[in-house]
Amino acid sequence: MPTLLSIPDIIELSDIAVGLAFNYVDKQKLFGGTPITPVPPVQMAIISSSLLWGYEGGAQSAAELRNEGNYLYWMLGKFQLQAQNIISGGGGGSVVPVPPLGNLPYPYHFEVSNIVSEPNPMKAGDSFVFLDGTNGTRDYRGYNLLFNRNNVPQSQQSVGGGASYFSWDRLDGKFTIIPSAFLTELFDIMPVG
Amino acid sequence: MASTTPAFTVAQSALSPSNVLISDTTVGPDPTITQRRVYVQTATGSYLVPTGTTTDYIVWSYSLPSITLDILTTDQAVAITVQWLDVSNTVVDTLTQEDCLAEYNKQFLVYLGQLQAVTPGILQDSNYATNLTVYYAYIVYAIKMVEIGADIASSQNLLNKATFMMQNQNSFF
Repeated sequence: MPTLLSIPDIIELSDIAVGLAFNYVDKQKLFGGTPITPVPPVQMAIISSSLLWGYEGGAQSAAELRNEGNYLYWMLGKFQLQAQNIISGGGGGSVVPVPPLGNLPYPYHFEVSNIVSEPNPMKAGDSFVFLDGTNGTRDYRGYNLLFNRNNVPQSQQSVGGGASYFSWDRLDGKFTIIPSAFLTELFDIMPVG
Repeated sequence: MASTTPAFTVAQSALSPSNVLISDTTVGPDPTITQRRVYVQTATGSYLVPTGTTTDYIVWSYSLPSITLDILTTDQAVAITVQWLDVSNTVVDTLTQEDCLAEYNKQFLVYLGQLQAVTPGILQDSNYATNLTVYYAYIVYAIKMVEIGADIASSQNLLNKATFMMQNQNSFF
């Protein structure tokens, strides 16, 4: 059975929903559309404060507060549903935050030779290297990796038939390639968020 | 010597907005303190005291942790000073803080909100909606003027505008 929201619950919902409503109106304006909301967000804010001050002051009856609380709940409309999701832990937005691009380490682009030197972390015959900031390597731990081998994007899945692939442990930074590196191969190792 | 941090809180009653409750929240009070005085000064420099008080200050018995002062007839932005004194009337500690006592107008906005809840169509009246927005802004920013700016003169100016709208509600709402 659904639970009736308390007055503090409705006030808390409005704290979030009013901001969502303001953003909604701004977005509509951004693309030249006409904002469509049942009531302007500022009116929601006014009734929210009215209800809060009435609740805190203690001069109104429970019935009076309930009437105004229901009215505010109606005013918030669809934004209260979004607010409930945010408050209940769903969080806001639909985009997963990624590290800013400016913070990504530089990628590796090199031709395999017989020696290891910056910026060549692997030499011919190597099958793995730790990209963890030790031994002069760049620290890619915590990122995902894209790996192009001779300009061909590599998969982390072995598809059989002798096709090359790689594996990447983002925790300890171990980068493994199958088969081992051959002289003059072109490698691109690129960290991504 | 005892370490004393003088402090007090101020609250205006919603049920009886003329009443202001002041509570002493001092930490580690000085043992020499035997009496307290309260000054409530308005933005124009006058002092608010209950009827019958002949001094600028109000005597606050040291045995009482809080005192209710019936001093308001309208909303006021005030500077409240509490003095803690010893037996020879020497001020041992003093503390002043600014407060926006806006409960008259806040409760009138509550009343408007309740009326609006039973006649939601009134928002279609653009005069009502605009005036309500202005009235709300006066109250909120009067409070912010004190909370953020500690400016009771500006706060009082906004309170006066709000009070005018409340007192002429037939014209505005």
